[in-house]
Amino acid sequence: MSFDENTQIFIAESNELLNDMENALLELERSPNDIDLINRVFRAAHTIKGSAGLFGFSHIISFTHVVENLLDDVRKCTVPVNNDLISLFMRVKDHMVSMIQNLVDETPTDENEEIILLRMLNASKADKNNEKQETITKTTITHEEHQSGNLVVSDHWHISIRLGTDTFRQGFKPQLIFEQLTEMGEIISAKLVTDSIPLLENYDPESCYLGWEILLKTDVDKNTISGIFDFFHGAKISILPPKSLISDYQDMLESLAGGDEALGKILVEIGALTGSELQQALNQQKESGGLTGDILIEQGAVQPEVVNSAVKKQQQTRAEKQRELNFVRVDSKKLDKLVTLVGELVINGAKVSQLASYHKNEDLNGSLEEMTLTLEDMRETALGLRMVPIANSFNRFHRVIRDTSKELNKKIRLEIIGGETELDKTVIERIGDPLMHLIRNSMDHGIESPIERTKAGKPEEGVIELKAFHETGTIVIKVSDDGGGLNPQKLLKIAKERGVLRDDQSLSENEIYKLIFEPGFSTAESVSNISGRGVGMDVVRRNIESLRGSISVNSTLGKGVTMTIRLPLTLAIIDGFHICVSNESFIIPLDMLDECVTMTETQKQEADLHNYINLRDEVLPLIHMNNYFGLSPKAETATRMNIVVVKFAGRKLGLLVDKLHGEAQAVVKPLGRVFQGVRGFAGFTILGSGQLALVLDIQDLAKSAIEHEQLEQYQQLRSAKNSVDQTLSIH
Amino acid sequence: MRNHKKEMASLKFEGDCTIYEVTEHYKRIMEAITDTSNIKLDLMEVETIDSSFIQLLIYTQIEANRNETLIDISANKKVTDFMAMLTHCKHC
Repeated sequence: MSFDENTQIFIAESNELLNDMENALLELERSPNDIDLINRVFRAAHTIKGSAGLFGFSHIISFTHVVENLLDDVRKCTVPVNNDLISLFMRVKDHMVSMIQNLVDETPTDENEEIILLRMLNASKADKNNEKQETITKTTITHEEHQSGNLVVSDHWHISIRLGTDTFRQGFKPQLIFEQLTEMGEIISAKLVTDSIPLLENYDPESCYLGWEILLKTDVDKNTISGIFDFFHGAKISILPPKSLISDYQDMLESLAGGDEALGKILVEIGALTGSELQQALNQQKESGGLTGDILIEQGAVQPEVVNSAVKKQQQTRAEKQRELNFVRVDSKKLDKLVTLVGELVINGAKVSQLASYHKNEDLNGSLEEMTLTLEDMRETALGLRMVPIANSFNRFHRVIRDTSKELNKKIRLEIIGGETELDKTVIERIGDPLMHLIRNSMDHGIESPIERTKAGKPEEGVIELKAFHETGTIVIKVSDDGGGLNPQKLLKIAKERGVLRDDQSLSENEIYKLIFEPGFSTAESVSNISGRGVGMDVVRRNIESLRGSISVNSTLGKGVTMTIRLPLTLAIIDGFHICVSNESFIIPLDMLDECVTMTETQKQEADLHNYINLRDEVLPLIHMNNYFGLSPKAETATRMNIVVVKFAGRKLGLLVDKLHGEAQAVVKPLGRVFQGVRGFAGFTILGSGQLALVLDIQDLAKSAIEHEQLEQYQQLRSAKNSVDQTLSIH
Repeated sequence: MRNHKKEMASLKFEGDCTIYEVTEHYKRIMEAITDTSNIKLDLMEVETIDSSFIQLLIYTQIEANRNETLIDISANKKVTDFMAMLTHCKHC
């Protein structure tokens, strides 16, 4: 189905609302008495129903309507908030998500689930209806006992409607009310109320001044009746069930017409009240008078503080609404396009600056300087547009942890630190699955059962911590638990059993932990449906590596495991450092750069002998860029050699290069498909001169350099062995 | 004042009588009401009608009462049915 823009907005908005609904439900579980949270859930359902109404997605409306009914009861505290109820609403939320997804995919809704949910929703309600009926009978009895005159004789529902002035303009059709009421039951009588039509020049033909007093005979409940009026914004509606108290009528008179006696007459006319009943209602009203809030305070029903705080809350909600309006939804493709364009502009800017410095035109240089500054700002802003706080991705784990911990009979809490850390949207989207895997693993294998935890002297509730922060051009995400930790001996044993490791191999502790990322490796004794099939962790590693990131494990037996993921900010444009090896240009991401040093004589001799030097009494591993890339060294490099020291993942590495050109902004373009397998490069860029330069991926470069060296050593060993063999055979 | 009023005016409405045309209809009726003592509203050829127009008719009636103008409405079944539903009064 091809959607117009509005439908797409509906889908995006609904998904957002459902997310919010889930978060509210999760919070509600912790504080079941928070009426604000219930309201948030209700609002989400209500808004979706309203918007679905505009687009005519009738199955969404009808389902949401039932949901809303139950929520309304929750709001009125007639249905208690408990775990079952929250689980039910969670399922409802999931179903609504799939309903909306079905719109996108054009697939039919899961009818079985829908029927089950509707039955469950209605069942939860039915309980309450019985209760309510009981209470009504009870009040009826007490009232009949004490003041039998206080109940009206009418057997019918009384509905009072005053439409909002914008009803016509918004395109709502009042006749629909009658059509729907007729479907529900029989309209015994109805009276058009025209009192609010203004006279002379105050009359605006496009405004609506109509209202009705209707007497309805029906078996449906109040929520079903009030559902009709959901789309009539600004309308004042009052629905009174049969045999209501006269005081209810009094309240209605007050709210609709300020106690206008003319309205009372209408009520008598249509048969809602008898003459004496009306008199009683009006008298009661005169006695009390004043504003509802004041009445409540007067009656001692609420304290003045409560009313004040309610008013404050309303104002806050309004302020929040206004803030929400400050956002504009933009297609992410448009953003990508913008970033690409800004990238082109940066390249062209560099080209122009190079020309200007060549021609030595001072005026031109001056204004170019200014332009470059603006360009840099623009680049920052454009890139910032794609940055999203990682909290969006983190928050959904609350739900995962809630559901899974129930399934596993464990008590687990999720703590999020650094949710405001920003990361490119595409990276966030792709990191979700690996994170999910890690968290499930922690829950399943890491955190122990409450009994084991108590034995170990830990609190019953386990904690999984998600932490994000920036570190030298990368983002670090840590997933840690306070569970049992990894047992190195057990890992070794399993690895040898499964043939991942040979019996005679010995490994350092860190290397042992890395085993869990090997394919086909699982430490869980039993395979649960959450994890333990041993396909997880190697997929996690591969996913993270495909984002040019890395993952490492740290564990303390009995205390817990910490997984550290490092990801590059993978942005289209980077601040780079331009270097030359032989005649080739390379760009190093500036964030990675630690320092540049010129080698001393002794260091040069060291470097000739092996792949490391002594830098201020520290060992610095070296990559001879000339040798590594197989480029011929230039004559002049013999006299002067530069080392660029780069830092990543807490380690340092020296790159032996020929020339330093200084900072350069680089628009990173991906390498063509042919070069996809080439290691050590993040892409390429076009320099201001029009020359091509490869952008180095330092982490990957280091890794492949290590492998390269190991291979060389192995070959050396082999050739050495061969030559020994040969000498032996000669002798 | 009354002496200057015209005896009769006849206003005919055709086609759509909805929120989109209601301001225009309102002006026509108000002009007529101020200087006529008997207005005939012909709604026989109205095809589409909505509640804003019904409200206008009610308002016309109220204004006419104040101006002591007589209003005479003739309408087709479509209009009367709609009116009957909204006002729930079988005889209009």
